[in-house]
Parts: sequence; structure tokens; C-alpha cells
Amino acid sequence: MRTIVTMALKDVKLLCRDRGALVWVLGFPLVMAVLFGAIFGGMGGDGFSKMSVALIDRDQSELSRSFVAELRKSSALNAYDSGFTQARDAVRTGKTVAFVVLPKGFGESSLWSGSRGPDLETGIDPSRKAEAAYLQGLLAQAYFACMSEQMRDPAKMHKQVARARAQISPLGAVASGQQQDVLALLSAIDRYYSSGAAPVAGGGEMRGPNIKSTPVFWQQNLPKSAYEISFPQAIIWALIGAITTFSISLVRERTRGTLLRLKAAPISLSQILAGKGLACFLTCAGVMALLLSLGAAAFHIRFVSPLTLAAALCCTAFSFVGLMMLLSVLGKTEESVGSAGWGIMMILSMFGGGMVPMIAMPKWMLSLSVFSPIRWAILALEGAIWRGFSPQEMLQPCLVLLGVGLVTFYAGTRVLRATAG
Amino acid sequence: MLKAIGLTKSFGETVAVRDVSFALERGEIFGLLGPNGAGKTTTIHMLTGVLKPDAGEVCLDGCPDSGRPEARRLQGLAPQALALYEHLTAEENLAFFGGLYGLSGARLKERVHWGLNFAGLTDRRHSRTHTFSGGMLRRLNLACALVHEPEILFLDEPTAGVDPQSRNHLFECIEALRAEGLTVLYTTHYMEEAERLCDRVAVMDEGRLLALDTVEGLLQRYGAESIVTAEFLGVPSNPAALGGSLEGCRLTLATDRPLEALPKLASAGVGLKSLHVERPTLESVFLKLTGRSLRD
Repeated sequence: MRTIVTMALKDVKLLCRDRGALVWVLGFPLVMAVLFGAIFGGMGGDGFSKMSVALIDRDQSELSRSFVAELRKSSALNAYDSGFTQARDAVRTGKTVAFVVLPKGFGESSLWSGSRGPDLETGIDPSRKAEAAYLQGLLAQAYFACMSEQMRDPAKMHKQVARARAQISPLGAVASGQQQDVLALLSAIDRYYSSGAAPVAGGGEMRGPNIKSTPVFWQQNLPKSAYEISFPQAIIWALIGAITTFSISLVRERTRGTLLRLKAAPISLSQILAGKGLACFLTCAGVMALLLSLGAAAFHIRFVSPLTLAAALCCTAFSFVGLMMLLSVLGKTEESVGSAGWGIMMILSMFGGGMVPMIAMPKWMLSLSVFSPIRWAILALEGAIWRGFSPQEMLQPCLVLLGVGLVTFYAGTRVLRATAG
Repeated sequence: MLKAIGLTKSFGETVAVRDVSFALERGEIFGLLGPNGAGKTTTIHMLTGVLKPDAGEVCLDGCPDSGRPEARRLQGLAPQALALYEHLTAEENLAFFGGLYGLSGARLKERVHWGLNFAGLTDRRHSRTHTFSGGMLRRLNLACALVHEPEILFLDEPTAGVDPQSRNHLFECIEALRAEGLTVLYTTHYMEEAERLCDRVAVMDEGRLLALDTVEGLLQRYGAESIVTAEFLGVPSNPAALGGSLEGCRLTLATDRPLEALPKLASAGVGLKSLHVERPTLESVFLKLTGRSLRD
């Protein structure tokens, strides 16, 4: 085993020192993931930076309409009107980040609402803590902007003062000894707005909206962002880069004479090939882990469970090790193996969802894709990311990948043994 | 120490090696001399267990199958191609090949240090090998074959593409190894190398072993006579008594005993201006054995 590890470490070291190969294995896929993620709805403008929020205005009062208008003005929100059921489904399926319900009576809230502000109901997946907090801030901001606007309008303020007078006693928010003073203050405000003086904002113990959050669990059967599609695709390109590099390195061992030296050493051809396979496996798994970590850190890619993710990574890496072995026997020179490798993998990738996302594939192409190992690799990765595969659901792509890996590894090593003497 | 018995190997229709047998004695430098395509490299590959012979067998220390892991640990191979990893440093190449032979820890460090010193690359130990000259690569190639302290070393055309200075350095290294008791099998198509280094030489052509003996033995058995060329100060008075052919003052004489010709030349009656004796070489041995030149 130590010999195999020695062989594998040598190959990983050689790959790390080959800048050209590293570009194809890491640089190019990363650029691709970010670029395609951004193009298909990731960053900039109306994309990733705007939070999509469905608004359900059940009050339809002057204040509620004004509040909705304020939310629409927000550059941080993509707010749209919706019915409650549609809004809840949109949040569940990940199409919309949250919904906000303005309940009946929202417009009845006054400048002086005692310890309780107007009621608001939001619906958001509990795991989206950052977005939930951000949304609460935006709602408070919109409410205060809305109230400030009201304070500039004497007619609206008269109504507000009248409502406050009516609410002070029943709410019991003000001690009975102070009620007279507060009522006197409200009368003074009323007089102020009747005097025709320039209206000013502020006054009173203003309360923000009382937001009640309802957990709406995201069902995770649709990608949360375009990055959850572009990263698995980028991983496929990284793996193609890795296995092409390793298959070329195996040919290089033959053409440069190092394979001869290895064969003269006290190790078997199986150990030599196992070392090469282990190096390829470690590289594939490492590259996948690295890209997914970057995706999670920078683009909020989420994983369903560590177990299904580990299974997807291992089976995908194993399958690509087999493909590497097969590619390495497709030619006798580095050039021929490199060209054949990229050519074949491009076709497999085209039909397997490496170029066109499976979610956007026409039906006939989707039917053909079952013959491409790339499809199963992407399915396994997406299953662990946004499709939310259970261990049972993950079994099918994993078994296909293991099968492909075994068959191609066996075929490749058979030919290698025959040709290597 | 190593015995090749009736080795035969074909690649498709081409028979690369036909029924080759010989034995290497411990501590000797054994040369395989022949032109390109003679079957030398294929023979080495069968001896080291890299290639399986179609017929015949190889015995190392009396045990058949030189491809056994235990047998391989006793062998070192420096292939004709520079079998090194160009993106690894000199030190990393030595450590990698040492590791393949089971060396580790302090022992590996010690052997790597020895290898760097042997190849004269201690100062360049951290340089990647793609920055090395041809001579440095050859020396490192040799050091990688020796890092695990083999008992028998296979050198396949070790001076290919090497400048004369590096070639001399390599010769000195090999002679030093012989002094330490290492057994060496050395293939070359340069007769000068075989003559300088080898205790015994096997002449190969077209997959066959044509002759095997010490250099002297080969020269005696298959070499032509020595050529003695004498230039006199005047024309000798009795040329018929001298033998050979006289052109003006220059006499050319073919003999297998050049020393015995000297008294005759002294009695020619005229003084000698110059005397040159050209010994037969392995080139002439090869010419005699095959009817063509080694360099054809």
C-alpha cells in the first residue's frame, strides 16, 4: 500500500506543479461556474442581489397601500402582489425568498399605539436567518418612511390623532394619571396641524410594525440560484480536465520511459495502475470538495446532507478514475490521447448536462442522456445540492457511476496490461 | 550470478532476440555490443523482468524468474531514455525511486544524499530536472538506478547524447562502481566504450549473439592482423626481405606479431623516420563476424 501511496503522491505533486493542467482542472471550471451562474440569474441588476418578496395586502387601507408602495420603492426588494396560497408555494419551491401579509386592521394602527405596533406576518424558510433579519429591517424602514409621509399631511395627521385618542383608553397603555397629559399633547398636535404651520416629522412614542414570522419550509426541489446548477456543471469540466491530464500522464510514463523504470521496480503493474488511479481519485475528490466549498462560501450553495454529498463525491470520483483508465489507452501518444479524451468527454458532456443544464434539456436529449456518465454524475451532485435526494434516491445515480467506473477501469487496465507487456 | 538461457523474443513477425545465452560473473562489467536494432535493449528488458521471454529463462543467483520482487530489489536499471520526472527535483526523483524499492526514513535520506553526491548534483538538489543539462540528466538517471544499492546494474546505452566531458565522468563513475564490486551489464554500439570498460563483451547482431569473450580474446579470435606502417629516411635496398608493400619510402605491413617485425625494419639499411602500429579493434571483429561495419 505504501508503494501505491508513494506513486499517487508523486502524481498529485506533478499535477500541482503543472500550471497549465491546473488551469484546466481548477481555474477554468471556477470561472465557468461564476460566469454561467451570473449569466443565468446570479448577480447584478435584478438578479441575486434583489430579494424577491410576495405581498398580500388584506387590509387595502390607505396606510397599507402606502406601505406596499414604500416596499416597492426599495432597491433591495423585488416586491410583487400575490395571493396567499401562491405566495406560500413560491416560498416553498424557492422561487421567492419570503412573503409578507398585511392583515386586516393594519391601517388602523396609529401614531400612538402604546406598546404594540401594527401587525405584519412574514413567511420565510427558517434556515434563511440572514434574509429574514434583513427583511425585518426593510419592513421597519418602509413602515417608518410611510409614517413620516403621513406626518407631512395635516389631514392624515388629524385622522391619526383621532385614532390615537380613541385607542389610548382601551389599550390601557398609558397610566390613568397620565391620560390627561397625553390627551392634552394630542390636542396640541391636532392644533399644530390645524394652524397651517409647516408640518414636521416625528412626535409621540412611535412603534414599529409588530412582525410575526411564519416558518415556510423550502422544499428544495428547485435550485435556489443559478450557481447551484453552474457549480455541478463546472465540477464536471474540472473532472474532465483532471482525467484528461492523468490519462496523458499515463501515456507520458510510457513515452518518456518512466513506466519502464517503474516496471523494473519490485512492484506489480496492478500497483502502478492503482497508484495512478488513487492519484486521480484524490484529485477528483479534492477538486470537487474545493469547488463546492467555494460555491458554498461565496454563492450560498447548500447541501442536503453530508452523507449523500460524500456518496455523490466518492462515486463520481470513482467513475471518472475508470474513464481516465479507458481514455489513456485510446492513443499511443500524448497528443492523440489528449485530443481523443477531450473529444469524447465533450460529447458525453453535451448529452449529459455538462453544457446544457438537465433542467433545460429537451425531452429527446434527456432520454439520450441516460447513456452518458456525465448525466449521472450531475444528477448525483445536484441530488446532494438542491434536488434533496434521500439516501434511497441517491442510490440509483451512485450505482450507475460505480458500474461505469468498474467497467471502464477494467477495460482500460486490460488494454494497458496487454500493451505494456 | 545472472544467467540468460536461450532467450527468445518476437514482436509480431519480427524476431528481436533469438536464442541468446550467456552468464554474468559477479563483479564484472559485461558488455553487449551491437548496432541499433541488434536486440540489446530487448535482452536487457527480459533480464530485468520487464519483458517476458517467448522462450528461455533468466536465473538470478540460481533462481529462475528475474521478475520476482526479491530479484528486482537486487537489480538497478538505467534505461536508454532519461526516465526521470522533469517536474520533480533531483532530490525528489531519487527519493521517489528509492521509495519504490522500500527505502524510507533515515536510510532513504542517506541514500538520496549518496545519490546526489554520486551524480555531482548536491548543489542542484532542489532544482527541477527540466533545468538540467544532458550530462546532469544522465548522471541522475544512473544515480536513480543505484539509489537502492543493487547488486547488478543494467546500463542501456548510458552515453547516448552525452558530450565527451560528461562521458568521461560517467566512465569514471562506472569504473568506481566496479571497484566497489558491483556487477554491470552495459550495452553500447560504441566499440571504444566496450574496449575501455568491459571485462567481457558479447557481440550481437539481428537478435543473435555472435561471439562472447574478453576484448583481447575477441581480437585474437576475430580481429584482423595489426597494421605496421614504417616511413624510412630513404628507399630500402632489399624491400623483398621486409615483406609488405613499399610505396616510395613508406612500407605497410600486416602482421599478427608487430614486435617481431621490428628487427627486420631495423636491418633495412636506411634509418626510420616514423613507425606506427595499428592494432585491430572490435570494429574489425564486428566486420569479420557480420561482413559489415558496426556503424552501418
